[in-house]
Amino acid sequence: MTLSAPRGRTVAVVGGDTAAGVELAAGLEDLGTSVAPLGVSCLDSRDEFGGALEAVVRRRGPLDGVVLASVGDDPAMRAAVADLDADGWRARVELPLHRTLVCFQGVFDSLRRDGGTLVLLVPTLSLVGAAGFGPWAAVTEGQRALAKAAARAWGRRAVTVNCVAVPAALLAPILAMGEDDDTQPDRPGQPAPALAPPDLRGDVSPVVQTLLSSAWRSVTGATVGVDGGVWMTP
Amino acid sequence: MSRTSQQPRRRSFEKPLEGNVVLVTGGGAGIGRAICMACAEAGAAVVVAGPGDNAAETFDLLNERGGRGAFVRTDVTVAEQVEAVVQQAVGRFGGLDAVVHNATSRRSSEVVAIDAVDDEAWDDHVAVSLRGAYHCARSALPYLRQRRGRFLLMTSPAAMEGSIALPAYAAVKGAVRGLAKSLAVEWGPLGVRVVCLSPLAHTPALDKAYLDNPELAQRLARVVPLGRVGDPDTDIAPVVVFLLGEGARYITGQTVVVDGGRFTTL
Repeated sequence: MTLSAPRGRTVAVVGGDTAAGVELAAGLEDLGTSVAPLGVSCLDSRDEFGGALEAVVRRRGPLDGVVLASVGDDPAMRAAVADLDADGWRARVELPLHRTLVCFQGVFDSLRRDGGTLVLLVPTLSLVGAAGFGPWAAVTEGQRALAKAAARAWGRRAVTVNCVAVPAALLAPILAMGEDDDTQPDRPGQPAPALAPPDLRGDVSPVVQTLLSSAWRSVTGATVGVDGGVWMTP
Repeated sequence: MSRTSQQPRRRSFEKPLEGNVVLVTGGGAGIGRAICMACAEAGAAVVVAGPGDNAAETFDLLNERGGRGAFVRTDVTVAEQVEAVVQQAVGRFGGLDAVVHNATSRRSSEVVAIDAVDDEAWDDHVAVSLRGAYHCARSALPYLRQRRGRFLLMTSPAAMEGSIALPAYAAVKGAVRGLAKSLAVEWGPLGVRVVCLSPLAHTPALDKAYLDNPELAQRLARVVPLGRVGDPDTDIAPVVVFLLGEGARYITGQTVVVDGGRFTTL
């Protein structure tokens, strides 16, 4: 059996207008992938997202996969849950979760005939919790649960769904710039990384690229940690 | 609408929640009702919050058995109503020690494929499980932090395993777990513990499914090492009482799985 080479794949990166999406797309292109970046706002309606995916297919041919790099920057803003007003909650939790549903439904429409892969980037803090990031953790744990539901439902159509968990600062670079400890998503006293901290372009993109290849066709519903060995979750 | 009853407090080793005030959302039936009864038997004043008459029936039952507490008609999707039930709990019983957010959408057991989930159903799931958790957290924290309180959120195996049939339910219950883990870290320094409980138990929805599909019971029993689906009163509610009690004072941020050994991957 011949496995398809990772190079030459066509992938849409949703959230391609965010800093994380741009970095990831650049990394995938370095590896020979044809990347179509799609803005977060196209997830605000099913018609708009479906139309955006169709336009990509018209221009570049059938998609091999979609990467959901971001559902917007709002969830990543530090906010104590008890201090959030209703609008803040909606913007940080409910809207991003709804965008996730829209993404999943659009991706399924696009991949259901020939199969393919959906990969989600999530922050590791969703696995372990972080003070001030309850909204973001809620969104991403909701995403991971939906990813498992989709993985089970779509497997028979050869559509795989997996998550890649990376340090939060890679997905929300503004967090990495904060000098005040209060702006940091990492927990005090968290384990030191066993390896050098990863970056999106050089370290995460190859893992995403691999997940998009047929070598991983039997892996679905999984979360792969790419955090340099900080959280070795069970 | 509300009703209350107060009886003299008794203390004994069999009443681990003696002197506590526990608010339970979704207390009208199934696991929620069982939690209310168990907390009352454990000595707590139980505020039964629910949108329907069945929550009032839970309170009546609790009262008949000598428990004390109150019923407050509450829709957890409405912030003002959650604020009001918290205020009533504090006003009538002098404080709030624990909140159990058990309420879940009436559409929880509605089988829908992911690609067919519409916005109305999605919002219903989000509103009750997740927005309701936010409302409870926001309203209760000022009181929970005064009494080294506990915040217990009910989640589901679907949140950890995914579910073909119930994707929206799985997503919001997963979101609840994410919220709980971060709240545990956030509220730990305040002395407030946050835990999730994932039950596998008979519910009105599951019992209805049994009627529709008589083979389901045997099928479920086969995948549970203990060979049966849990009972809300004897298998689930006692664990809730434990998690709310002093014996669990060093447990926070965890999802406690009470499923007869079905889920063993943690």
